[in-house]
Parts: sequence; structure tokens; C-alpha cells
Amino acid sequence: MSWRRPGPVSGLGLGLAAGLLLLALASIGALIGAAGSGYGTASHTTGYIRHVAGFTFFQASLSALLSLALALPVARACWRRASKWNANLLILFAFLPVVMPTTVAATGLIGVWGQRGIMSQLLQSTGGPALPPVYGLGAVLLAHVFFNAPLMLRVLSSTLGGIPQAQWRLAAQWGLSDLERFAKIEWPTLKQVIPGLLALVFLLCFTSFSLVLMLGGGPAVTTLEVSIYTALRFDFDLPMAGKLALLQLMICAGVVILLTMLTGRSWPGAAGKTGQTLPQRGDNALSTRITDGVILAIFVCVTVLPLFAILWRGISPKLAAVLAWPAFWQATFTSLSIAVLSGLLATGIALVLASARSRRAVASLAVWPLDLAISLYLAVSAIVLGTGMFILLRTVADVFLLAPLLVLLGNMLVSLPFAYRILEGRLASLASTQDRLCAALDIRGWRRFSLVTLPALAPEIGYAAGLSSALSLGDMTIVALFGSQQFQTLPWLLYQTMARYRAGEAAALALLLLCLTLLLFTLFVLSAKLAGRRNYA
Amino acid sequence: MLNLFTWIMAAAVSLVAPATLAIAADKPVLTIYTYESFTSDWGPGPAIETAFEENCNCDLQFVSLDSSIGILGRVQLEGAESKADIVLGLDTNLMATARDTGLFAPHGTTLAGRTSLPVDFSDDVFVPFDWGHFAFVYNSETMAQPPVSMQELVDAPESLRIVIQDPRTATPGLGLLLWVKSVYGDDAPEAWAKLESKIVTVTKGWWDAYSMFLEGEADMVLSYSTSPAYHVIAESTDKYKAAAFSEGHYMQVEVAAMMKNAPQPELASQFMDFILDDGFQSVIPTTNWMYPAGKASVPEAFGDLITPARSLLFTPEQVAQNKSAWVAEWQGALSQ
Repeated sequence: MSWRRPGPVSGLGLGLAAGLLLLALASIGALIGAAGSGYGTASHTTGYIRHVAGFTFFQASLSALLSLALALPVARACWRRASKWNANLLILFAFLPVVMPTTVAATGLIGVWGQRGIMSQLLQSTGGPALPPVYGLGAVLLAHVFFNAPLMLRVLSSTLGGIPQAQWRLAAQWGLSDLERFAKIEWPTLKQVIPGLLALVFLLCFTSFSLVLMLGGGPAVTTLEVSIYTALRFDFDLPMAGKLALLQLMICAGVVILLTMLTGRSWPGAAGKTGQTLPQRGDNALSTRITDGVILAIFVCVTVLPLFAILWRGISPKLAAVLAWPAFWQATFTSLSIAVLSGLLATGIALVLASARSRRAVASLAVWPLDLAISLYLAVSAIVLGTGMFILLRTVADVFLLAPLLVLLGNMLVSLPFAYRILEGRLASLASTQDRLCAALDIRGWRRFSLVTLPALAPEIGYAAGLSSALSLGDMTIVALFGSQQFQTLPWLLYQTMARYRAGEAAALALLLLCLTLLLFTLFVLSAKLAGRRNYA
Repeated sequence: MLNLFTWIMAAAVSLVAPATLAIAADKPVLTIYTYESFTSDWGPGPAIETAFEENCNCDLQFVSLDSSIGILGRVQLEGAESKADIVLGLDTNLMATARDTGLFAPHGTTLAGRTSLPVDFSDDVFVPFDWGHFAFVYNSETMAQPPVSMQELVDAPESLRIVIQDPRTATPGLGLLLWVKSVYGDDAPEAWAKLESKIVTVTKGWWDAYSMFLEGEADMVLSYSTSPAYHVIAESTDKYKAAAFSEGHYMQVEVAAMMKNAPQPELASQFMDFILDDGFQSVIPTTNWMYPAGKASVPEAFGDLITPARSLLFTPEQVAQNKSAWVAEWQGALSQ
């Protein structure tokens, strides 16, 4: 059974994953080993840290579960209504919240749920009172659902689309009820992606920072990331920051390992032609329509309205003023260059890693080392990675020259887990349909990859590259660490605008950033689709 | 595909190229580390650069970092090999810590008679470049009677909503912590416990809080007494006002210092002296929205701002010694 052998890509993938993980560990190590600690007394007592870690764990778990609780019914409703353009549109652009800079996203949320937000105005126009202030753990959870439910929706939808047509046909013939369909047909497939998704969202919420402070209502609602920042910046206690970063990494590793073990070694079954649904029993019943309508309405309120709030506020005469700034165009060029580069880089590496995973799965080898290594970049905060790399590199090279490369690397690491998840699911289902055929025809190695796999994978590659570049377009944490006068990105410009009271210009910039993100993403998705089609023809 | 590749390479080169240009330039380069908003198009950076370059036959370059504490962290990491000649944008709260690093050299400039600070300031290492008072800003159209003292704010009913910043992440947040401490001393935790019911939220950065206030999420926001001047000058509205508190207002003095191992020590000395000149100081009010530390005139709108009866300020040493303990105390009081 030679086609089951993992091949060289497995070794390459493992090596890459190990190398990148080592980079992250080296950054933490550099902090722990740094000489000299602390300006002040240690404000990080063991008891307090235990409390913060526990609370962060609780908050992140709840955020992940709530996101799933919203995304799962929405994904099912969208699948039922997949022929409708609005359901497809919802899924295609569901990535937008997660790529916005948090400060911008938060203003969108306040625009909907705040004292003078859309919801309060609706209530008041019907004679009711304004919404009470929403701040606290509840607001943080709402925000995390806003960011992550759309991401889950996207993956769950494509998983539902991967269930073989034959199974849907059987379900329709047997006249299975909605519940029976879920239990017998959808769940066995969904349960294979859900642990991975939960892990991803858990990590994102575990490391949340400015959003938690902004909406949390007070220092009692906090995360370990806040303590890491405090140790690193406020106390300049590098070893303590390193230790806290290590603690964060270990907790996240534990959760990822646990969830990966739940996933097992199986993968979603063969993908049929996606996007075709068969009418099922009860689909058109009034009760189903109403439930679907309510579910979609809730989803739109939570995830789409804030984006409209951002758009709405950005439309003003200031928009023209911003478009006339040379600084805006300079920053746009820099941002786009970084975004495209890191998007392509992340997708390329994710492709190697996902191929390695797929080959190893076929060969019945463990895939968890890959899953773990890739997820964990999300558990290393940008400020730790940035400061650690700075300490390690400044002795060997000019940091000013390295800054663009470090920003590129940092952005790439952040988007890698997303790109990996997108590609890995599709590769697994391709493997199950094409492996035997390709073995029989003796098409393998690079030839198979370029002739068979790549064209079929084109849409996912486009999506992964689009998402990765969109993510890095909205990132400002890493740039802020290395700053220099010449090196200005759009989020950085936005930040500078805010720091000078200019609310109107900031809103206009946020709008432009949102549009640019959409444009870049769409370009990637469309060009990949075209490339894929040309290869098939 | 080739086109895409060419474009990517061009983009990569264009990212790295600007950083190398500095090396190619023949004029000596004076490198100043500062915080991000200082160098923006509306910040003081561009005008100060032009004014200084007129007389120095040099190329002034700002390196902008994410915060004032970020500047100090950066030079500490770089140590003696730092490329910085000058750091600009530390404040009195960071002075003692910065001095203890031993990275900075005496400025050699005369301060006496050239400053206009409301408190005595003399230091051989740090030169003040601007100052301000922290204050709660409110909208006079929706709030007719703001609190007239910190005590009144502390005792105000819960319906008065304020938004503040975290002392661990934002300068005004630390300012308020020290303000409450200087008014209440050992009773500060009780004051914070009373304030808690009025705090809508505690944000990471100044703008997060300020934009929430502008959006109507709170009645008052912790900011600077000069904030209303921005709205008068740039937006022609005088509806935003700062509330004057009878106990006095806590101060921030922003300072600069030159590095002991500055690559261009002479230029650095020249710049340290330039800081209190008109070319630097006259730019400050309407770009950094603070009071100039030197004897420059301020725009008319500054005349309508509140003038606190007392300026409160701990010594840098007091802050350095106590700030971690005080932050822990603050956290405890607000986490009940």
C-alpha cells in the first residue's frame, strides 16, 4: 500500500511546525532569561494570577460555547436556505468581524448596543426606554460572539456542504425529521470539526485584551493577557512576563490537546458537489420558516449590524478629506504590501502543513503535533513575541531593517491557524476521494499536487489567502512595537488619528479600512476561482 | 504569475528601502524616539522637525513607538547600543525609573527663567516640554451642574456615569489613580469603592474612553483640562467643558532626555536646548493639545479653560516606589 506512505511533505510539515513553535518558545525564553527585573514590587501574587487564569479560562470557554450555540443553528438554517442569495452572502462575508481592529469593532458594537445605539433608538421610537449600559462580562461575551460566531458559521457551513449527496437523498426518502437528520446525518460529520473550532475560538478569546478592558466595566473582568502586558510594560518585569506567557501557553496547550483528542484521527467524509441542497421534510413548514427567520435575525443583529454602524459613521465630508491625505495613500500602499505578502506566505506554509497533516492521516500517523503547534501561535501574544524576537535579534542585526520582516512574520503567524484550518478540511475530503484513483493511475508527488490537488483546492486557497491578508491588514499590535517614521500602516494611521481627537477622520479611516479589506478579500477569492476554473477546462 | 511575483518583490523592496535611505544620506542624523501621536501629521513632530533642521544642518528623524512607557522599555532593551540620541515623551511618573537605568546624560541646558510650569521644576537630566492637568470633561448641553469637587463626584448618585482609563495601560488612568491618592491618602480605597458604581467601564487607552463619551455612553470622561480647546479650535463648538475640582487637579509634565551614548551627542545637546525655544514651544498647544512648558503664547481658546486652584503632583521617586502597590490597592477596591 505504497500510496499510504506519508512522503517527504510530512517531514517538511513537521519541521516547519516545529521551527515556528521553537520561534515562539525562544521569544518566551528570551524574556524569562532577560537580566534585570521590575521597577516596582511584584503586583503579580500567586493567588491573584490563579484567580485571573481561572477567570480567563471561564470567560474563554463560555465565549467559545456561546459562539457555537449561535453559529450551529445559523449554519443549519443557511444550509436549508442555501439556494437563497442572502444566505450565501452571509457566509461569504462572515469573516469580516474577526479581521477588524478591535477598537473599530468595539465602536461598531457600541453603535448598536450603546446608550444612543441602533437598539436603543429602536426601543425609544416605540416609546420604550433606552437600553441600560451593557458593560460587564455579558458585554465581553457578546463581543466575542460577534467576532467568532461568523468564523464558526463559515466552517460549519462548508462541513454541512461536504456531507455526501447520497446521505441527504436517503434522509429525504426516509422522511427524517429535523432532529433525526441532525442526529443521524449532520452530527457525525459536524462533531469532527467542532472540537477544532472550539479550540480556535477559545484561543482567540483567551488572549483578548483591549476589548475585554473596554467592555468589561472594571478591572475585575480581565484576562491573563492584561497581566502579561502589565508585567512587560508597567512593571518592566521581563522574567515575570515570560513566566505568565508560558502559563498562558500551557493552559492553551492543555485545552487544544484535549479537544484534539476528542476529534480523533478521522476527518470529514467525501465532499460532494457543494452548494446543492435537497428539499427535506418539514423545510417549508411555517414553524421551520419562523425559527429560521428568528435565528437569522438574531445573527444579523449580533454580527452584521455593528458593521453597518461602522459604515454609517464613516460616511461624512471627512471621507473626502482623508482620501486627499498623502499619508493615507502611503499607509495604504504599505499595508497592502504587507497584507498581500503575509497572506501569500501564510497560505503557502499552511498548504505545506495541511498537506503534511492529510498525508499523515492517510498513513495513520499522529496529526496532533501539527494541530497543536499551529494553534499555539495564537496563545503567544504579539507583545511577547515582538519583545522576545527583539531581544534575540538586536544583537545580530539592525532592528530597524528587520522591522518590516518581523511585522510580516508576526502577521503570518497570526493568520496561519486560520489558513491551516480552511485548507486542511478540504484536503482531507479530497484525499478520501482521490487517493485510490491517483494511486491506480500512478499520479503522485508534485505531479499529483499540481495537476489534481491544486485545481480542486483553488477556492479554498483563495479563501485562505484572502482571510490571511485581511487579518494582517487590520493588525496593529505588532507594527506598534517596532515603529519607525517611514513604516506606517493603515491601522497605525488610524491610531494616530484617534490620539489627536479626530473622531470624524477616524470613522472615515475605519470605513476605508473596511472597504479595502473587503476588496482585497474579494480579489483573492475571485482570482483563485478563475484560476481553478481555467485549470479544469 | 510573473507579474504578481515582480509586484511582490517590488513591494518587499519598497518596505525595506526607506529604512536604508537614512544610511545613504550625507547629513548627520539625529534620532529621536517618541510616541506615535507626536509624529503624526497633526502632531507637533513635522513642524518641530522643520524648525530644528533650519539651523542644525542635520536630518532629524523621529522613531514613533506605541506609548511613552513603550519608549522607555525600548531603550532599556537596547541599552548602551541604542540608536536613539534623545527620548521625547516620558513624564514625571517615569522620571525616577528612567534615571535609575543610568542610560541618560545631563542635558546641560539652563531651565531657570525659561519655563512656565505651575510647579517648581529643576532637573539636570530631564527637560520639560509640555504639561497639562487631568480633568473630567462633560457636555454642557446635557449636564448643567457638573460636580465641583472630587468629593462631590465620589458622592454623586449612581445615575452619573463616568468612563475612565486603566492605570496600567494609559497615562490619564495612572493620573487619576495618583489624583485620588493625593486627595484621599490612605482613604483612597474607600473613595474608589464609592466611585465604582458610577464607572461605566475602564478602558485600555485614552481614545477608547473619549470616543465612548463622545458617543453618549457616559456623562463625563477622564481626559485633560485642555480637551475643550480642541473642540473650540477644530470644531468650533464650546459645548464640551472640563469640570474644575476644588481639591485641585493632578498634573502631567512631559519631558525629554538625551542618551548617555547618543551617536550624535552635539546635535543632541543642541536639540535639548532647542526644546524650550519658541520654534518648539509655539507648536505645542494646537498639536499636542497641552500647555507649552516654555514661555510661548497660547491661543485664545486656551484662555477660556479652567485654571485649577492647586496643582497636585507626587515626586517621581514617590511614584516609582509606590505605584505597583497603589495599583494593587485600586484593583482590590474596584473588584469588590
